[in-house]
Formats: sequence, structure tokens, C-alpha cells
Amino acid sequence: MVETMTQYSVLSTQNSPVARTPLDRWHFAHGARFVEIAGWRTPAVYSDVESELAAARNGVVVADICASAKFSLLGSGVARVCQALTHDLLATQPRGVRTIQLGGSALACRLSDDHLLVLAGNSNRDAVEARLAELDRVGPLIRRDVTSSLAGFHIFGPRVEDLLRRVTALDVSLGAFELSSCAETQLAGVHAVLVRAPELTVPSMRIYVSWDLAEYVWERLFAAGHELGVTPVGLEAWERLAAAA
Amino acid sequence: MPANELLLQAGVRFRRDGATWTQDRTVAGISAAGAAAGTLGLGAQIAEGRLRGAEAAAALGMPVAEFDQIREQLRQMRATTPATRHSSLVTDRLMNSDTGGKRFVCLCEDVTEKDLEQAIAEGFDGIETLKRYSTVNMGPCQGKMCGLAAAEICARAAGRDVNAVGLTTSRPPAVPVELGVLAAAGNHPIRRTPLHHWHDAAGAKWMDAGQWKRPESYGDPAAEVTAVRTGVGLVDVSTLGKFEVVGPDAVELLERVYLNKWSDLKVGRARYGVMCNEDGIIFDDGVCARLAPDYFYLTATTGNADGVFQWLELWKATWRLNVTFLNHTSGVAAMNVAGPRSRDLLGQLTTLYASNAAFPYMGFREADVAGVPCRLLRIGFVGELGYEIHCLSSHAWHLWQAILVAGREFGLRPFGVEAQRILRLEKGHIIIGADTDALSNPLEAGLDWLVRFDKPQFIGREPLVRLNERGPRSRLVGFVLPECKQAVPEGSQVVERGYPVGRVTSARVSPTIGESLGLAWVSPKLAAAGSHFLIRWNGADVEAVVAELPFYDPAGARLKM
Repeated sequence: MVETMTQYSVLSTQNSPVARTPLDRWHFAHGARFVEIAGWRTPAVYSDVESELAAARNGVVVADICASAKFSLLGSGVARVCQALTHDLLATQPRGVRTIQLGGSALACRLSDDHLLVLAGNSNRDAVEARLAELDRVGPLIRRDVTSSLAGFHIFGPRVEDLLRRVTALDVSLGAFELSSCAETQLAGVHAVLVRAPELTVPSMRIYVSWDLAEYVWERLFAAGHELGVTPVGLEAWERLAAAA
Repeated sequence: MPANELLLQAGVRFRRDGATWTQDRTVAGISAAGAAAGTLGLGAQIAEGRLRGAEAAAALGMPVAEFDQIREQLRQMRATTPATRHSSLVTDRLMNSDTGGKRFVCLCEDVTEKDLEQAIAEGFDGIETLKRYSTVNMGPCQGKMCGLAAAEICARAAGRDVNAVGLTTSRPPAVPVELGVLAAAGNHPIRRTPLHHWHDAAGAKWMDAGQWKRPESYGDPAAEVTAVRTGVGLVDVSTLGKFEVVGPDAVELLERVYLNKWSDLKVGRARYGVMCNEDGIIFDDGVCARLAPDYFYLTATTGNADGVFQWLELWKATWRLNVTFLNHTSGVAAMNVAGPRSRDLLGQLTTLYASNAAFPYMGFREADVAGVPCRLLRIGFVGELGYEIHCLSSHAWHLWQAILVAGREFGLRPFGVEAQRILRLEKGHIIIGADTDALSNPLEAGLDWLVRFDKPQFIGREPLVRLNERGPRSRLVGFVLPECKQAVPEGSQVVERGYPVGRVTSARVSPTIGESLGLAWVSPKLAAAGSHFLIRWNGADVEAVVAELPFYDPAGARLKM
């Protein structure tokens, strides 16, 4: 363990600051091969991409997407920001989720009347942030980069709902929790944001929890999904599924 | 233990019948199903539940066509249910444990088997008097976990039949234990700092701080203390509450929620602050820095961070102030570099000019440290030159490692919560919630110096004005034990002519001063430096002497070096 930890520490202190997700140690312990993207160390693959894709198509898998950019906008100006970003009825639909194009895809998630969560990728983080900065003037608004405050997981595969039912009392069936919607709820006993968007070729749900609770929730997902054969997947499989969508 | 509180309150009585508890006295109109009726086995219990439900429906005149079928199902289920016994988690643990350690009966009230046997030996051998004397059954579970075990231990120790002992009286309200509580031991949320796995690999002994896991020590707290006093140490304080307060009414809000003054705090400076509730009772403390005229960054205690955030939101809404709070507790990590070599160490990692003049005590700066954007507070909870460094949680590992590497030449040593507690005790700094309780006010806790009665309004002002006029009824003082080189247990009673008149809140043997010292609440007449008082410990009275605070570096020179 000490040798492994030493190796791990050396890996992680070289050169310029590298941001790491709260699950970094877990990934390392489970044999992840890492890749550095936009200053973040993220798990690229655990076993091989084809196996991970097969698991995603046949069961349920979990990807660590903590490194993806997240922006929180709070205030009465949120409605106007929604209109400006989406040009549709999202502005009047709390719990709605819309895909927006800003140097790539991003998701605008209307958590409540005065709270918008914008989820971007690492490649279009700057473009999204710049656009949101432009919109600061539309009304009273507090804009925060919450990338390091909210941990994000993406669970996907045909058995997503089976897994979620084991950790939350929220009705996650498609009839009750429609595509392109979001909700704040309890998951594994802690506060969580769930986002369902049409972004992969298989059923999926994003989960966002407090950074310090990330490992706990991640472990609960694996414990709850043990019978379902839940496995972790790396960024490569996740991006392949997203690209095919 | 069957969930039989409602039956007991209705007048039903139970008796031990071999391996199970069955109804000894029934009450007309009251029926039970499941374990409370002496029926064991899930299938039989469900069938009995259906039968009792059908009987209730029939009693209301509703047609029930399945009586015979349900009765037959219950008969078959009972016939096939394997013999077993009523037991409880506590009973099973007691019966099967021979570890020689403490054998807890009442997990709510920390009552052991030995406590019960002692009470019975002293004559409290009736279950009701045993309960009142020992507090067994008196915790939040109200005997659901320990009631059966207490009855069986009482019977065994008193040499009576358990049916003669009986069960304690059940009184309203009857509150069920949620199934989730019973099933969810593995689902208890755990909050981890971004450095959790570093601590783990370094051999940290863990302690719980609310939902957080914190390293209590890395094996030798006294050596960790010495490293901080003589060189430099590093502690993870990411669990602190961290908030931004932004808006035109930010100063007004701080003036109202804190006891001390904030309008005169200069940008780039920080100040220690204490909050009280409306009764003038200490609520929380922390440090607040001014980043801009209407922009503050403040910290709160680990255990009360969520409470402080809600408190601020409550009063903002109550007073309709134009201010926004941003909670950075999980998104921002914090670490404290402390010790006489901390400036030298920091100089290896940042271009920030950190001389005493350029970055003075209680200063606030923003700078890159090891390439990571950070906020730095020059504060000294442990009583040495020190810097509390805050960065995004995602960069905490990199920063911590960089500090460790740079600190090698200065003999840097990580330290845990235990060393931190010793260090702050030597400095006489109190811990809210440990040295204070739900009756502690700042005037009696030695924080009178920061209560600004010249402010027109702050939460708790009126009761504190009255307390100030009345004079103290108790005082929190520092003490040393001149004839003892051990620390008395925290919570020990301060006694006067055999009667309790106060208590010890903190006590340690100081590696720096070489004495057993602590903090205690005593009556005002005993609070003057040099006064003697007695602490009851292991049945004997130990003499303590009131000491001036702080014990260490009274002039504060080491903080301002």
C-alpha cells in the first residue's frame, strides 16, 4: 500500500498543478489508465474500451465526470438567461433541461425559478463561461464556477433505472421523470441533482452531489448495483457513446 | 424486542414464555399481530396481520370472505416456522461477547452491563428504579434496543424470574424505529476531504467530526506538537465551513450577526468573530476576511457549518438585507502551515512577499502557491506564525504534496486534530461546543473583550446587556495541576465541599510546558489567577490552580514574528 501510494503521489505532483477528481484514488486502486485533459487527471479506461462499451449496452455502468465544467447561476435574472441561451420555453419551465451549442454541446438545467445549472465539457468550458459572463448584465445574478464543488457521475445502460431505484425514492421512470428534465432529490441519503438528457445512445442519468460526499455516493452506487453487475467506465467509452448519439 | 409500545400503553401485558414474549393480559378491542403477539417467522407474521385486519374489517360490518383461507394459511405457516426466540441486537451481543471489554446494554445512554449490576447491588433491583437510577431505556430509542436485555440482566442479577421483573412502563408518544435506520448502517454518509487518502496512507488514526472523517493523529501527537512549536507543521482543515458574503448590505449583516465590529475592518485584513443566538448563548466562531468593501470570506466551525449557513440565510430574510451567501465548504480545501519556519517554507512555493510587514498577522492575501490560486489567511489558532491556505478542492492534493516536498528541509511534520487541540489549549483558545455548551455566554467564557455593546444591534445584545449588569455566575478559566502529571478526564467535576460547582472542558498534558493543564467552568469567586479548586477524579479530589491565559506565549510574540 505504501509503495503504491508513493507511486501514486509521484505521479500526481509532477510539473504544473493537476486537478483531480474526488475519486482519483479509487480509480488508481482499480487499475485505471489516466489521461490529462484540460488540466484534469481523468480515468481514460479501466480494462478495454470495447468491454466497457459492451457493459454499457447490456447492463449499467458509471463514469466519473467530475472534471466537466459546471456553472451555477442564482438570482431573478435566471429566466432571462434561459431565454437568451435556449431561445425556447425553458425559461418558463423549471426542471427543464435543454442542449445548447457554445463551442460544443452544453446542458442548461433549470433547477428552479432562480437557479440554473449549466454543464459543459472541458473543450468548451471557456466558450460557455464567456457567454455566461456576457449575460451577467441581463439581471440580478450570481454566477459561480462550481466545477470543484459538485461531483458528477454519469450512469448509463439499459438498467439505469434499476440501479437508481435502489438508491433513491424518486420515481425515475420515464413517465414520471421525462427526458430533458432534472430534479433535486435525496440519493443514498444525501442531496443530489439528477439530470436526464438525450445525450448517449443508451439510457442515462447524470448525478451531481457535494464534492466531499462523492466517494461515499460512488461506493453506494457500486454496493447497490452489485447484483446488476455495475462497472466503471473511462472517458473513452463515454465519449464514444456520446459521439454516436 | 417486539414493537409493542402501543399495546403496552393500551393495557396489554406480556410474559416470557420459554423463548418468546407472549401476551399475558389482553384488552378487549385490541389485537396484535407478529412478534408482539408471540408469532415468529415472516410468513406467519404476514398471515396473522391479514387475519387481524380481516377481523377488524368484520367488526366494522364489512364482508370478509377469506377468513377460513387466511386462518389455514396462518396455521400452516406457524407449523413450518422453525423454533427461534425473541432477542435483540444488544442481548445477542451480550450473550455472545466475551472480549473482556465494556459490554454496552443501552447504546443511547452508554449504560453497560457492569453499570446495571452495580445499580442492582446497590438496591435498585426493580426494573423501574433500575431505569431511573441507571438511565437504561431512557435514550432516544426508549428501550427498543435495550429493554429486553435490561430485564434479563435485572432478573439474572437479582435472582428473580424475568416475568417477576417485567418491563418498564411505556408512555406516549410511541415512535417507531424507521426500517431505513435499521437497514442503513452502511448508508451513513461519510464526508471526506480531498486529502483523505493521503492521511490514510500516512497511518492516520481517524476520528469522526460529524459526518467528516478527520485524522486525529499520525501516531505521536506530542511529537507533532513539538514539530509545530520548534519547526513547522501542516494540518488539513478542509472541514471548516467556508462562505462568501457579498452585497451592499454585507457589512450590515456581519455587524448584526457577530458580537464584534466589522465596518472598520480594512480590505486585506481578517478578524476573529463570535456569533450568539437570541439568548446571548455562543453559537459559533470563526475568522472573517474582507476582500473588497462589500465582499467578505468567512469560516465557521466544522460541526456547525451547515447551521451557520442556515443562520445567515434566516437573518438575511428576516431583515430583508441585500446580501448573498455562497457556500464553499465542499468546493474549497484548506490547510494550515504553522510554526516558526512556516514563512521560510511558504517562500519556497510562492512569489507572495510574506514578510511580517508585507503580510502581517491577521492579514489576508490572494496568491499562487505551488502554481495553485489560493487565498491565504495569516492566523494562529495553534499560537505560532502560521498561514491558513485555501484552494479549490480539486487542487488540494497537488498543493499538499508540494508543501510536503518543500517542507522537507525545514523538518515539516503533518499533525492531526489531537495535536491541534493541545496546541490551542496551550494558547488558551477555546473550542465552541467543547469548552462551551447550550448555557455558555461570551461574557463568562472569557470572550467579553470582543463584545461591542456600543453597536446598536446584534443578535443576543439584550440578554448580554442584562448579563453584564448582573455579573457572571460562572467563569471559564485555565488551570494547572501542580501535583499531577496526568490529564484529568474531560467532563470531570469541579467540587466544593463535596458538591459539584463546575466541570473540566479540556485537559491535556502539555508537551511544551510540561504540565497538566486545562480549561474549566468554576464559580466567579474561584476565577482569579492563583485560586485553588478541587477536581473530582477516580473518587479522589485533585488540587488545581487557576492560571492566567494563555499558558503559552502570553504576549503573542510568536504569532506576530
